Amino acid sequence: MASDPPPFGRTSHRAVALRDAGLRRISATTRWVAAAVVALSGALALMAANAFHGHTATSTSSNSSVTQPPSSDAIQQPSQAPQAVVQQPQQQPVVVSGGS
Amino acid sequence: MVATPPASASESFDALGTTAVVATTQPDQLAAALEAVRATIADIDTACSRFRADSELSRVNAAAGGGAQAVSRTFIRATRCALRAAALTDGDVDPTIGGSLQAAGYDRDFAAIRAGGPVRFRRAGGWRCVEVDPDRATVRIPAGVELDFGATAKALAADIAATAAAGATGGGALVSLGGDIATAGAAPAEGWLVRVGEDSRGGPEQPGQTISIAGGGLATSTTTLRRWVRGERAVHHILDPSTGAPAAGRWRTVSVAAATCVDANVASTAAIIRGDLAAAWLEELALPARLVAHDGSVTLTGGWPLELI
Repeated sequence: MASDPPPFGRTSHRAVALRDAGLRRISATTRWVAAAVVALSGALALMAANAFHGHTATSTSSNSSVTQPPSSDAIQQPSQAPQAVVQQPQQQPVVVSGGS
Repeated sequence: MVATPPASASESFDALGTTAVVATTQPDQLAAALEAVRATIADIDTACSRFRADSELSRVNAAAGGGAQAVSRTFIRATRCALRAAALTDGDVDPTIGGSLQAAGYDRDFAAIRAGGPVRFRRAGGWRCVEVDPDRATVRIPAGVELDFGATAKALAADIAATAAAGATGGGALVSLGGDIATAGAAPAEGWLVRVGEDSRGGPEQPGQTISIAGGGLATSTTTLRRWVRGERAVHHILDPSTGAPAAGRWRTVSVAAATCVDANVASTAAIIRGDLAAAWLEELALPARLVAHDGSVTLTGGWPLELI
């Protein structure tokens, strides 16, 4: 005599469906919490950046401390070019520029 | 009859293996100017002399390949000045030239150099290997590298000394260290008079040109002095860092005017090394310069005045 299959199959499918629905809710909650943490971190970072002004480090370690002049640096010309001397003032010493 | 007081006063003395000249527009303050200049020179000499065993430079060189060396603010300033010169000249003026100078025979105070056998020239260590930490006030160089600040330290001393002298006197000041000239403060009405020649120990009657400068610095580099013999070869002190050999370009003497004595000296030294490319480079930088070729012909750049005949 044939008999109905045990109710185990239906019960098992229902339990799986309930489990999957719970996992989806947990996953959604986790995503919302993660997004909130990221947003809060960004907001705190902005607040800290505005509250505490930093400084530019010139060097940090022996390997990175080779000082380089600013790229805009250049040999600077004088504010006024030398002038020819027409008549030498008598009361002023003449200094010599040459090798030494 | 009342004598007209002098517009300026000057005095000279031996320093840094050469002659120092100090002039001020406040003649009654000459002693104060001299004191300020002497103090600056002593500070630079203690930090940067290659021929003093007790200098900071000698200590840093002796520690090459070891740890970072604690140094004075003066030494940090001199090192950064030398590295800036190297950067601005693409390494033509390189503070790691010390080993090259040693190899070429310039291994002691110049007055003590004697003729010797043939040499094998040695290229400079390369300025980018020098590690400077201004915050910790330390300098470190790799093994085999030797620093020499000969191309910049004297000019830096002149710049600092002129500023100090002007501050001490409340007037204008000129400081010449071996012909490297720096000025500060208000110049005399007719400017500072300078005879541009080849030997700073010579008088104003030597061949050259007399000009006036209203400020800034003026420096002359020449291959005609500080020469010695190794083997059959005459050697001079301006070495090409890329080879370690004496510069053998077109110019024997170059004088440059710039905003500071350091900049003038960097440009004049680099011009000797650059040879044929120097005049165009100086013109591009709008630097007034007087370049003397080995045959005595003169080229002017950047508004340097024509010689009045």
